[in-house]
Amino acid sequence: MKLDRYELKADEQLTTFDFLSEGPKGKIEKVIQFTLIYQDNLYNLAFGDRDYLSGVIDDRIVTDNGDSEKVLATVVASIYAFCDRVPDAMIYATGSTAARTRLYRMGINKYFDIIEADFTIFGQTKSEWEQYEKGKDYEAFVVQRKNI
Amino acid sequence: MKNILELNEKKIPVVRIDKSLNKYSNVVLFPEKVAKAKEAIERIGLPDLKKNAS
Repeated sequence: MKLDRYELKADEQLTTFDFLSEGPKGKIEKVIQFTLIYQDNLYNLAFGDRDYLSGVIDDRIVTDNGDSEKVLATVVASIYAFCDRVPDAMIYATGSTAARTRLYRMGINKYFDIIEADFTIFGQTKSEWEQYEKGKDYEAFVVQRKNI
Repeated sequence: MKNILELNEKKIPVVRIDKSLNKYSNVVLFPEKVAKAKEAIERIGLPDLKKNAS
Protein backbone atom coordinates (compact mmCIF):
# COMPACT_ATOMS: atom_id res chain seq x y z
CA MET A 1 0.00 0.00 0.00
CA LYS A 2 1.38 3.35 -1.00
CA LEU A 3 0.92 6.28 1.35
CA ASP A 4 1.67 9.69 -0.06
CA ARG A 5 4.38 11.45 1.90
CA TYR A 6 6.79 14.38 1.72
CA GLU A 7 10.47 14.27 0.86
CA LEU A 8 12.60 14.07 3.98
CA LYS A 9 15.89 15.75 4.79
CA ALA A 10 17.98 14.79 7.83
CA ASP A 11 21.15 15.53 9.72
CA GLU A 12 24.05 13.12 9.30
CA GLN A 13 23.07 11.15 12.41
CA LEU A 14 19.48 10.75 11.21
CA THR A 15 18.12 12.11 14.49
CA THR A 16 16.64 15.37 13.19
CA PHE A 17 14.52 15.42 10.04
CA ASP A 18 12.65 18.13 8.26
CA PHE A 19 10.19 18.45 5.42
CA LEU A 20 7.83 20.98 3.89
CA SER A 21 4.09 20.62 4.34
CA GLU A 22 2.20 22.10 1.41
CA GLY A 23 -1.45 23.09 1.53
CA PRO A 24 -3.94 25.96 1.66
CA LYS A 25 -1.84 27.71 4.33
CA GLY A 26 1.23 27.58 2.10
CA LYS A 27 4.56 25.84 2.70
CA ILE A 28 5.23 25.08 6.35
CA GLU A 29 8.48 23.61 7.59
CA LYS A 30 8.06 20.62 9.90
CA VAL A 31 10.84 19.34 12.13
CA ILE A 32 11.00 15.80 13.56
CA GLN A 33 13.46 14.83 16.28
CA PHE A 34 14.42 11.53 17.91
CA THR A 35 15.94 12.29 21.32
CA LEU A 36 17.75 9.70 23.41
CA ILE A 37 15.96 9.43 26.77
CA TYR A 38 17.41 6.48 28.68
CA GLN A 39 19.80 3.61 28.24
CA ASP A 40 21.18 3.14 24.82
CA ASN A 41 18.05 2.67 22.86
CA LEU A 42 15.01 4.53 24.22
CA TYR A 43 14.19 7.59 22.14
CA ASN A 44 11.48 10.19 22.29
CA LEU A 45 9.83 11.12 19.00
CA ALA A 46 8.43 14.61 18.63
CA PHE A 47 7.64 16.91 15.76
CA GLY A 48 6.37 20.42 15.24
CA ASP A 49 6.30 23.45 12.97
CA ARG A 50 9.17 25.88 12.59
CA ASP A 51 8.10 29.49 12.32
CA TYR A 52 9.67 30.95 9.21
CA LEU A 53 10.42 34.33 10.77
CA SER A 54 11.33 33.53 14.37
CA GLY A 55 12.79 30.06 13.83
CA VAL A 56 10.89 28.87 16.91
CA ILE A 57 9.72 25.25 16.76
CA ASP A 58 6.26 24.69 18.18
CA ASP A 59 4.67 21.26 18.71
CA ARG A 60 1.37 22.67 19.98
CA ILE A 61 0.41 24.71 16.96
CA VAL A 62 -2.60 23.57 14.92
CA THR A 63 -1.41 24.01 11.35
CA ASP A 64 -4.63 23.00 9.60
CA ASN A 65 -2.87 22.73 6.25
CA GLY A 66 -5.23 20.01 5.01
CA ASP A 67 -2.53 17.34 4.83
CA SER A 68 -2.54 15.66 8.24
CA GLU A 69 -2.49 12.13 6.78
CA LYS A 70 0.44 12.96 4.51
CA VAL A 71 2.26 14.55 7.45
CA LEU A 72 1.72 11.47 9.62
CA ALA A 73 2.82 9.19 6.77
CA THR A 74 6.01 11.28 6.50
CA VAL A 75 6.64 10.99 10.25
CA VAL A 76 6.16 7.22 9.97
CA ALA A 77 8.66 7.19 7.10
CA SER A 78 11.16 8.96 9.37
CA ILE A 79 10.67 6.17 11.93
CA TYR A 80 11.57 3.59 9.28
CA ALA A 81 14.67 5.62 8.34
CA PHE A 82 15.70 6.07 11.97
CA CYS A 83 15.20 2.37 12.76
CA ASP A 84 17.28 1.49 9.75
CA ARG A 85 20.17 3.26 11.51
CA VAL A 86 19.26 2.18 15.08
CA PRO A 87 17.50 -1.17 14.59
CA ASP A 88 16.92 -1.89 18.28
CA ALA A 89 15.59 1.58 19.13
CA MET A 90 12.48 1.79 21.25
CA ILE A 91 10.58 4.90 20.27
CA TYR A 92 8.26 6.67 22.69
CA ALA A 93 5.63 9.01 21.28
CA THR A 94 2.72 10.96 22.64
CA GLY A 95 0.76 13.99 21.54
CA SER A 96 1.35 17.46 22.91
CA THR A 97 -2.36 17.52 23.76
CA ALA A 98 -5.00 14.85 24.38
CA ALA A 99 -6.60 15.72 21.05
CA ARG A 100 -3.34 15.20 19.21
CA THR A 101 -2.70 11.89 20.99
CA ARG A 102 -6.16 10.84 19.83
CA LEU A 103 -5.24 11.82 16.26
CA TYR A 104 -2.10 9.65 16.43
CA ARG A 105 -4.15 6.78 17.84
CA MET A 106 -6.60 7.09 14.95
CA GLY A 107 -3.68 7.00 12.53
CA ILE A 108 -2.28 3.85 14.17
CA ASN A 109 -5.71 2.22 14.11
CA LYS A 110 -6.24 3.05 10.45
CA TYR A 111 -2.94 1.57 9.36
CA PHE A 112 -2.58 -0.94 12.17
CA ASP A 113 -2.04 -3.98 9.91
CA ILE A 114 0.78 -2.27 8.03
CA ILE A 115 2.45 -0.95 11.18
CA GLU A 116 2.02 -4.16 13.12
CA ALA A 117 3.72 -6.15 10.37
CA ASP A 118 6.95 -4.21 10.93
CA PHE A 119 6.77 -2.95 14.52
CA THR A 120 5.93 -4.20 17.99
CA ILE A 121 3.51 -1.60 19.37
CA PHE A 122 2.63 -0.88 22.99
CA GLY A 123 0.04 1.47 24.45
CA GLN A 124 0.42 3.28 27.75
CA THR A 125 -2.60 3.32 30.05
CA LYS A 126 -2.63 5.35 33.26
CA SER A 127 -0.63 2.74 35.15
CA GLU A 128 0.98 0.27 32.76
CA TRP A 129 2.00 -0.76 29.29
CA GLU A 130 0.10 -3.27 27.28
CA GLN A 131 0.28 -4.65 23.80
CA TYR A 132 -1.56 -2.21 21.56
CA GLU A 133 -5.19 -3.02 20.85
CA LYS A 134 -7.15 -1.23 18.19
CA GLY A 135 -9.92 0.95 19.58
CA LYS A 136 -8.47 1.30 23.07
CA ASP A 137 -7.58 4.61 24.63
CA TYR A 138 -3.86 5.18 25.28
CA GLU A 139 -1.85 8.09 26.59
CA ALA A 140 1.35 7.25 24.74
CA PHE A 141 2.93 4.64 22.51
CA VAL A 142 6.18 2.74 22.22
CA VAL A 143 7.21 1.07 18.98
CA GLN A 144 10.18 -1.10 18.14
CA ARG A 145 11.12 -2.47 14.75
CA LYS A 146 10.63 -6.19 14.46
CA ASN A 147 13.54 -8.29 13.28
CA ILE A 148 12.44 -8.92 9.74
CA MET B 1 16.79 2.89 -12.69
CA LYS B 2 14.02 3.35 -10.16
CA ASN B 3 11.84 6.37 -10.65
CA ILE B 4 10.70 8.56 -7.80
CA LEU B 5 7.28 6.90 -7.56
CA GLU B 6 8.86 3.49 -7.11
CA LEU B 7 11.19 4.88 -4.47
CA ASN B 8 8.26 6.48 -2.65
CA GLU B 9 6.59 3.09 -2.37
CA LYS B 10 9.50 1.76 -0.32
CA LYS B 11 8.86 1.75 3.41
CA ILE B 12 12.36 2.99 4.17
CA PRO B 13 12.37 6.39 2.51
CA VAL B 14 15.05 8.12 0.54
CA VAL B 15 16.43 10.73 2.92
CA ARG B 16 18.56 13.59 1.70
CA ILE B 17 21.32 14.52 4.14
CA ASP B 18 21.28 18.21 4.94
CA LYS B 19 24.33 19.22 6.96
CA SER B 20 22.61 22.43 8.05
CA LEU B 21 20.49 20.20 10.32
CA ASN B 22 23.61 18.97 12.15
CA LYS B 23 23.33 22.00 14.41
CA TYR B 24 20.33 20.30 16.04
CA SER B 25 22.08 17.00 16.67
CA ASN B 26 22.90 17.85 20.28
CA VAL B 27 20.00 20.20 20.93
CA VAL B 28 16.73 19.03 22.47
CA LEU B 29 14.11 20.76 20.35
CA PHE B 30 11.11 19.47 22.30
CA PRO B 31 12.13 19.60 25.99
CA GLU B 32 8.56 19.44 27.30
CA LYS B 33 7.89 16.24 25.39
CA VAL B 34 11.13 14.68 26.58
CA ALA B 35 10.32 15.62 30.19
CA LYS B 36 6.85 14.12 29.82
CA ALA B 37 8.30 10.91 28.40
CA LYS B 38 10.86 10.63 31.21
CA GLU B 39 8.17 11.20 33.83
CA ALA B 40 6.02 8.44 32.35
CA ILE B 41 8.93 6.00 32.12
CA GLU B 42 10.01 6.73 35.69
CA ARG B 43 6.43 6.19 36.88
CA ILE B 44 5.50 2.98 35.06
CA GLY B 45 8.72 1.73 33.51
CA LEU B 46 9.16 0.39 30.03
CA PRO B 47 7.06 -2.18 28.22
CA ASP B 48 8.49 -5.66 28.25
CA LEU B 49 9.28 -5.86 24.58
CA LYS B 50 11.08 -9.19 24.80
CA LYS B 51 8.20 -10.84 26.59
CA ASN B 52 5.55 -9.46 24.28
CA ALA B 53 7.31 -9.28 20.92
CA SER B 54 5.62 -11.50 18.39
